[in-house]
Amino acid sequence: MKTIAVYSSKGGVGKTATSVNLSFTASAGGERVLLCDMDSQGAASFYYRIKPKKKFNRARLLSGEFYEFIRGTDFPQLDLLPAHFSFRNLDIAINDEKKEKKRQVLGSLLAPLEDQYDYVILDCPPNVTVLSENIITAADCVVVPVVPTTLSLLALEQLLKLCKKVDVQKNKILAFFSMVERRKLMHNSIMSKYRSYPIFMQSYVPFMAEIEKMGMYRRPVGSTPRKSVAAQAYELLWQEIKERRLER
Amino acid sequence: MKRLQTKIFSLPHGMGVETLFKAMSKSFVIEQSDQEVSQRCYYDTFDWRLHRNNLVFFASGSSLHLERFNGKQAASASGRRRAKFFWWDIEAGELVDILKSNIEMRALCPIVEIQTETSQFRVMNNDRKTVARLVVRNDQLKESGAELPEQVFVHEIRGYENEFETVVHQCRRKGCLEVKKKKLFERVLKLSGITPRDYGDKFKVDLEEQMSVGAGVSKICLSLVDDMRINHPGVIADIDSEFLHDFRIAVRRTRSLLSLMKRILPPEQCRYFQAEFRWLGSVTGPLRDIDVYLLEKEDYLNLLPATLRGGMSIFFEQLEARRTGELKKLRSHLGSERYDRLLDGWCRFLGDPDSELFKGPREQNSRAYADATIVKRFRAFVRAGNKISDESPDEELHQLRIRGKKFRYLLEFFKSFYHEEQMTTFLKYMKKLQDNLGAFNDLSVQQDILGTELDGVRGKNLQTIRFAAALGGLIAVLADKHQTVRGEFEATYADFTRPQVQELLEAMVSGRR
Repeated sequence: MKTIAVYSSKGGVGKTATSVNLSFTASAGGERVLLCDMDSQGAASFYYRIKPKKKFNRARLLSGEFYEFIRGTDFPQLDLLPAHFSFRNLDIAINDEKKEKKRQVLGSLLAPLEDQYDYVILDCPPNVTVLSENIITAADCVVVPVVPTTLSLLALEQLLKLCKKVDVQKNKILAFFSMVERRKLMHNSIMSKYRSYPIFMQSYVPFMAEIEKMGMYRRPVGSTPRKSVAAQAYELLWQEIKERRLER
Repeated sequence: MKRLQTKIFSLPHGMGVETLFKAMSKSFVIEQSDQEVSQRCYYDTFDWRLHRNNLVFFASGSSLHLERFNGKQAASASGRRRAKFFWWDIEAGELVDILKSNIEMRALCPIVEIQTETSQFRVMNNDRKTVARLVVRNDQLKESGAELPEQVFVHEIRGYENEFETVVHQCRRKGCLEVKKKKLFERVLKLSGITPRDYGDKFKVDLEEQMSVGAGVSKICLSLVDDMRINHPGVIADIDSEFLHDFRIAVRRTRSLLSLMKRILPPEQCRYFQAEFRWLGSVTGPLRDIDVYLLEKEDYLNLLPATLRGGMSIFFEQLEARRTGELKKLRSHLGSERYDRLLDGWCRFLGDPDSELFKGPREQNSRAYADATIVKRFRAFVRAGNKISDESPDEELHQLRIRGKKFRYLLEFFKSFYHEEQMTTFLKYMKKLQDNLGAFNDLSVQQDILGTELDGVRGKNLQTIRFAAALGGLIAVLADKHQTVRGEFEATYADFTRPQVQELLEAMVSGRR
């Protein structure tokens, strides 16, 4: 089982769209996938039309009794652990753990799922907290969507600093350009400057109405019978992630 | 994590799946997501070799599948359905490896073909989230159109236990009957009225102790006639070599019985049928001889060093050509008036209540007759065997082999009178000795045939010289083996004539355990 975190401290960069579509692409390729919606806003859960069960909350998650709250999506081999409103204080709860355990909380919660899934994909909330430290410690690979803008690049820089602080190797990080608008000069110039950096993948995801409309149709872009441009972009992205970080 | 459940229901007679969906529509939205129609043709050998090894083979679309009885796939390969498959017709791989060891030289023939229509439905809640899946399955026999009861599979989706239970509850309320998952092949066979393993068991005829000799002979021989008749179409259609082989075994058994019991059978009829079955044995022989060579082609080639193997190819090519001619002759013999007259007359002799078979000495008790004959034949066999020494000519061993074979057939005819375990043990002892004598005979015959072939070689071209060299090489190897097998006879025979083996036979015949 490999854990992939889709993370950025900046909001609105396409984390949820990436998590939802990558998890679908992986499962459609025959892998057993669990998507964990760690963001209390529950957008990934919404896209998959899944509501948490009444008894589910942060305490259940942290006690390790969360397996019964995992729900199947409409697609074979793809399950989802829905978000709960109480997840907004997840970092505070983790902070209460003993110091030496603090950064391993998430990792130890996921460990028992080893035989059940090939991939666990974490859709992370946009902040820099002890939860973020947990996420980058537990993940085998941290996928970072970067909109080709200065602020988004700053968020990537911040993440690299965090890696240093928590003593995590930088090569876990894989960034890609997200919501790319080729008609914008700034997008083009930032991409041409940074794309050759080893931290960046060659695949990128353009800004597309189809991805925005996921909120309306509530399903991943690849789930329609005809393969769209957006679906192909996520497929290429998934292949590159696998080649560069997961199949070594 | 908890295993997801699937429950299977069969719909009540006359109720369509729409009625069930209508009841469910109060709680859920039901939407069809997929539908497919597929065909599947099941195969097995005539003697059910796959079924006996808990295997199922079928062709579906462009692939061939081998499954175990528990439904797990054993192997697959690409290939389309055809009139028959030998293992060598399928692309090399795991499937061929498993098939080869199970079916050997037999052909896989179609048994039954089905068409399956599966429709998939999503059971959704108000958010249009799928909370359970339904699969409606309809299997139909292609030939007769007969249908298996329509089944509804309810599949649970993780995290939606309550919804699954609601769907299951509604199925029950509508009178659907929960059924256990049963192997599809079994259900299809039952529907089509085909009994698996209805051919290919070891020879066994159930006789009753009070039966007269005539009634016993009638039952045994009619069962052998069945064997001939059941294999006849396969011989004519030349499906595989074993139809003829089994046909000939039934003929040989019949001839053995006539020979073993000639003193008690009406002499005139006995002589007539002996002569006619000898004829049937002789006309079916040439094709079988060729088949034996062709079946053992690889073994023959492996006996030769690689340099000589090429020379044999001409021999096998000639055999193939001769086979076509011999098959034509055999078809004409088995379609002849003489053949029909023989079987009709034989069945009348065996079945007509006024037949001579049920009169005179044949009225005596069959069990007493069997006891006495078995002991007498065994003693005669041992007497003949004891006379054989290292210096005895090969012919004496051949005679002993024939005596042995007849004696084994005699035991098998009357097998049902005796304790099964004792009989099996005795036959096992007997088999060791017969294997030795059989191998000795085969090697003699093969050397003779190859020698005759060598005598007929004419010409000086390279191909002829290579062929002659290969024949010479084979004869030398066979002669060597022949000597080894002969050398092993004494010990094998001594082992068979141990007092324990004799005591076992006596105990068996007298009904002691």
